[in-house]
Amino acid sequence: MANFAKKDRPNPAISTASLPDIVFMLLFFFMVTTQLREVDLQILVKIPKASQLQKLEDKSLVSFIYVGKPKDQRKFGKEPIIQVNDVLINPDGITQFIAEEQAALGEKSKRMIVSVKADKDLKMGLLVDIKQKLRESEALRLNYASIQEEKN
Amino acid sequence: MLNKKKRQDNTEINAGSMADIAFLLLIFFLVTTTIANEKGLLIELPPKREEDTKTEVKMKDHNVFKVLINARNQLLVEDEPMTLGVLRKSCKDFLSNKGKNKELSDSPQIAAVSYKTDRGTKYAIYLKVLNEIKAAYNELRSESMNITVKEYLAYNQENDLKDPKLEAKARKFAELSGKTYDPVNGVKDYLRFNPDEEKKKGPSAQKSLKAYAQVRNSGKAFFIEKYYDAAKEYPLRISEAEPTTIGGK
Repeated sequence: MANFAKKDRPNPAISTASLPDIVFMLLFFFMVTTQLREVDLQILVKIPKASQLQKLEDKSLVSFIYVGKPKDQRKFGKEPIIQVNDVLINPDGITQFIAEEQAALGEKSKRMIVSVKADKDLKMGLLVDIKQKLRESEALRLNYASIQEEKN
Repeated sequence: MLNKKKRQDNTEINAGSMADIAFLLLIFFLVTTTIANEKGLLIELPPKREEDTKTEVKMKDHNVFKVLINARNQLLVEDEPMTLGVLRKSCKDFLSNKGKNKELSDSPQIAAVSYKTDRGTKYAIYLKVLNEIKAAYNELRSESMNITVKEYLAYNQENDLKDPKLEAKARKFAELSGKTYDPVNGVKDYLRFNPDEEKKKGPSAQKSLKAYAQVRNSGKAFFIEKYYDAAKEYPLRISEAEPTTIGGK
């Protein structure tokens, strides 16, 4: 058997020369994956949880509608309100919003998906109004945005 | 005034602070980043009915699974109160009954779920119940495909739709059934072709039925074909009737 006697070696300092490289790599990763929020939410939205979720495949087809209580209650009141892009609207404004989105999509407008990001404490009344407006505008593919729940 | 330009040596820039700058940027992106996860429950809304073409859909009572939630978020299934935990099981039993029990559905193709909520129902509860109904369908579909529900949900059909072998099958199907092949929707037309539905159309559909059987049975079945078969076996028929006031206030 060879002799594995431990030699007393001096502790060499770990070279930190490659540290900037590692950090830069991480930096580029986050720069690429990051998506700055496009809309500035003026309402409070806490998305509910569900387990049977499907991923939205083509993000270019998706339009978002946010529903919740306004953050600034002195200015906009306490009642839940709808936000699209950067404006607060009432259900009647949805028709126009959908028409604009459909026009922007052109040929693909039949495959458009409307993703509703609604607060979990909302009452169904407002959402029902939204659904009726969507049906009128023939935007029939609706997605209830939700967070993955771990238990099945 | 007396500033004379001095000749300086070309000193190297100190790169020691580079790591610090990079760290600062890294932390900024770490904080601002929100990894996009656009997920949700996808449903298809019924098209808007014209006032004059309003027709009563006649369905046998035992083929409709009635789910109601009132303004107090109480669940009523088939005229009996129920807890959320049992809903998935009873919905599955209803759909996969296939005529065994006279009180449940005759076949999954004609079975439908009627889901009604009150205007005062909480959105979170509405979504939980919808989740359970969808879970029942997803479980049945994944069982018929012999995969797990997780695999079923994670399946992304976009890549498989571009498969040239599948396109060849769809092209052959169009050719044999005497139609011109549509380059955009042709593959989906083939996948969505439902033999059981076509049989009802009578002798005019014979040609395409024959073509479908021939193409479908040639070679190994693709995963995406099985995926669509499962959807044909258990078509998602959730009717979201317009909400009314349910029960007391």
